[in-house]
Amino acid sequence: MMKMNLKKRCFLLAFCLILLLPLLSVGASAGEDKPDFEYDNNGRVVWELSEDGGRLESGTLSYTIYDFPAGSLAIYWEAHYLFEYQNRVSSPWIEEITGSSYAEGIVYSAKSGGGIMLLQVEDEWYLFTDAHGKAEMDAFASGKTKNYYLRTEPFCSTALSSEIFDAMEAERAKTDNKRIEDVVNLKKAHRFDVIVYDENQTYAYTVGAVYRLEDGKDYYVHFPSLENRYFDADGNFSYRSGSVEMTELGADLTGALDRVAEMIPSGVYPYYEYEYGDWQITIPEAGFWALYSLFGFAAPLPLLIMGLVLPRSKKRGYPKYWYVLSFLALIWIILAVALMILLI
Amino acid sequence: MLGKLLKYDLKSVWRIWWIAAVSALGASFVGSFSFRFFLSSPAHNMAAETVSSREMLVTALAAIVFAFSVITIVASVLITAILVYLRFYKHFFSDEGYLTFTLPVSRKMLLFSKTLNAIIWTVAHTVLITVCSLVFLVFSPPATAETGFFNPFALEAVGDFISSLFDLMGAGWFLAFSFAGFLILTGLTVFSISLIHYCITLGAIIAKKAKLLVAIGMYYLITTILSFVAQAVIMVLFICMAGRFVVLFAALTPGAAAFAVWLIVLMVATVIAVLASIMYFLTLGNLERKLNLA
Repeated sequence: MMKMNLKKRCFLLAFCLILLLPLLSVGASAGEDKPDFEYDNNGRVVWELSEDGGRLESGTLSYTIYDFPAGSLAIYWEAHYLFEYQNRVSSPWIEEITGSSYAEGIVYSAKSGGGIMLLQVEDEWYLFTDAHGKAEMDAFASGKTKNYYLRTEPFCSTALSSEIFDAMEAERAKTDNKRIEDVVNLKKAHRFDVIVYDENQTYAYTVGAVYRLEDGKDYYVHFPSLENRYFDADGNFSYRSGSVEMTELGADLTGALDRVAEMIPSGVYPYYEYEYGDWQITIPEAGFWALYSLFGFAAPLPLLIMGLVLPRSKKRGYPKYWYVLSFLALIWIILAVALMILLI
Repeated sequence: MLGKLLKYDLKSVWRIWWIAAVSALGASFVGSFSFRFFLSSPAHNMAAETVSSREMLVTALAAIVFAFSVITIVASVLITAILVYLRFYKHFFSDEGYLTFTLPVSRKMLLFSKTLNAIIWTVAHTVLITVCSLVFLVFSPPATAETGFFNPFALEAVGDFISSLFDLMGAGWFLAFSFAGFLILTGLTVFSISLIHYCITLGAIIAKKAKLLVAIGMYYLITTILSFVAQAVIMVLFICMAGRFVVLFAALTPGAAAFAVWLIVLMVATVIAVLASIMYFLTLGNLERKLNLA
């Protein structure tokens, strides 16, 4: 019969209990606040859309349909991330606009805290906001948001620092670096769009463009400062006819823009690539950490204990091999702890 | 004593392995030139308005030769495995086993020598397959006016892929992930070797006749069970945890996210190492305690 003195047993017990401490994260995570939506038994948010399509409600939370102010530059939907509730909503309003009594809309959130909701009905996106979300979108539509991106084509963009944008604007303020160019030539030139995203990278408008012409230099056009005649009926810059004044950018700025452009992904952002928010239908956050604790700590724990206890067993022997197993189990636990610290 | 055991194990496999290796290398040369001919043949390209039946026949023969060369290379992989594991079986569980276990060497040293032998030949054959692949990459792309006889198109594509990975990750992370990948490959190699050894040992313990057949049956049974368990675990991890991981990763800086991914890869390597160790120790335990050659 295996004998171990009392001291060693107490040490082993204390050591095992300490290793179980990460399980406390389960309780901490479970206590996290969630918005006061109405949830069904599967943890999905239950939505109600008003008959006229003007209000989207769940529980005590209510969102009003939001339209961008008239006269703003053409604002388009080009989301990088969407938080999906994987829940559908139907309403007489959706039936009316789609012409189908079976049509449904899917509700997404532009950010994990809620506040800005998106309703997708077939290929159209409708924006719903609460008071805070409305203030955010108003600030974005009026040009107060400074979330710049450099873009080559739809869904292919990368962040552009406000320092570079401000430097481009400083060049535009000068008078000795202008060039008049036919817009038809600009259509053929290599072009980067300078776009402004809202804070959640969901909606954007094009604030300008940088053209690289045959002389190898970059030229910048700022759209809000142009008159209405430069734009088509949809609010997009028109390349049909006419000339536009451009600002030549210096070599430093050209180099900085090239370095940013290298970060633009070569592939298109997948339309269906969504990030899941706090309210996944499959598992709440507490469940995630419980599973993590199971795979990261509970699974290697028996190996660690066996590796420390069984080498002394006359029946099982092989101390060297049990120590190898316990060492590997310890490495497993250490890596799980390191990853958990990084993710929390 | 390990050196002597290993020496005879290596010599025993080498006697036939070198023939398979030379055949595989030769087949890779023949196959790459056949494939090159097939690619540049008018019958394949349909470049000529009329292709003669002779050209069609020669092109078809080139395709067949290429297919046979691939089969030869694949067969060399099987031959290596058969040589290594047959050596293990015969040395321990056939009449030779009586002699083996009378040697003044512990059973754990014998098993270690066999495992090391299997690892060495696995690595050797991996190098051989890599050389055969390089031969294909160098000689199979058709010659062009610009490149001449040696068309480096395929090699350049591979080089571009590796350098793009290097540029994307940076030197530090490239090395870190390469190291983690190396650990995983090593763990998988040891695990698969130990699993086969374990199945052969179980077959010898369970059955008195047709031990190899029983071993093959045990191998399929154990791999089926392991794959069920692995699939269940992976499904739970992906369905229940992947979404949350994505959200948590999005909140990290690129450097921290890369470090987190590296930690996950190391955890996978550790789990594989644990499984490989368990399989090895089970084999050793059975060899020490349960084997009865009588």
